Amino acid sequence: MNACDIGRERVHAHLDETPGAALSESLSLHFATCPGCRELYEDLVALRAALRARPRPELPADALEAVWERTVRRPAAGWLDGWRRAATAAVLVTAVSASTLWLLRGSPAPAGPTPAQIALAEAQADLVLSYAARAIQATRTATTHRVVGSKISPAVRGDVPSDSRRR
Amino acid sequence: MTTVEFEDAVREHKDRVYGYARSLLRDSEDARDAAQECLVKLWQHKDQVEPGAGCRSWLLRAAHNLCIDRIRRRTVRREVDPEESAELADARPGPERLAASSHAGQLLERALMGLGERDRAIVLLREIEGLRYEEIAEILGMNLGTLKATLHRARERLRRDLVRQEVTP
Repeated sequence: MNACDIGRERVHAHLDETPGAALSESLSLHFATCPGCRELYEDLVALRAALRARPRPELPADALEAVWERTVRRPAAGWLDGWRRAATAAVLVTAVSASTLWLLRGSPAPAGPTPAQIALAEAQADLVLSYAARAIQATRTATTHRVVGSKISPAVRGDVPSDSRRR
Repeated sequence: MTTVEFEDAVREHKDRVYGYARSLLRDSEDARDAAQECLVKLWQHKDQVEPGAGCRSWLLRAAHNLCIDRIRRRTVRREVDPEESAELADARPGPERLAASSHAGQLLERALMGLGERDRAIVLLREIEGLRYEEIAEILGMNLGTLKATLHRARERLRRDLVRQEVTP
């Protein structure tokens, strides 16, 4: 027998809101006139009881052991575990790098040439530089004459007769 | 939660978590791994979980999420590996059913396993674990109205299946 729509809703509401509570008077009165709803209610109460009576399987003992191994029996995190280890490593690397740089900077310069050698080298360098300067100057003058000179008209230079200018 | 409280919580809820995972996953090996993972997760979050009823709800939520992840991965694997799919299908007469002491118990298991994952989760969390609707809604990410309507439908479907097999629930 089917439950009526209104009764069905009230049956579920009763099971939802007041599990295990006694039936309200109005619902009892409804059941007296609607055997379908009464049947639904009885079936759902029995269904809930059957579901709660289901045997609950036990977690296998070796699985529980594995949980203990991975949790409470795991050695406690030492001071150097986790982020502390990373931080310590970073500090150590920085310290080693800084001290290496300091050592390189503070070390004495290798033995260099004598003052006489330096003076000789300077004199040679001056001589080479003066030759180089003269060569650069000569090259610049020649190039300027070649480039600029060809672009200046003979009239401007003043070496062309005036009648040839009109031609 | 202290270490002692954690140990107490594990002893109190381990079978609940495993049973829930087994009902949802329909595979004891998978359920065992999920339950283990769930309890280890509690250890990792023990500073944020209060012992007591809150812990039960936290564990069932974690177990649910882990099971759903496994179901999703399994679905992907099935698409990839048809042989594994066949193996899972062969394992259909699940240990719960075999463990059920009576014929009626077996039929109840079959009816329960016939529900979709979400409907089954709602029935398990409400009718078996007795969680509040608000807790279930939070775990499943549903609104209360939809949750109740789904539970009503699932209850009636279970009843219908059992009546069809001439078993009074």
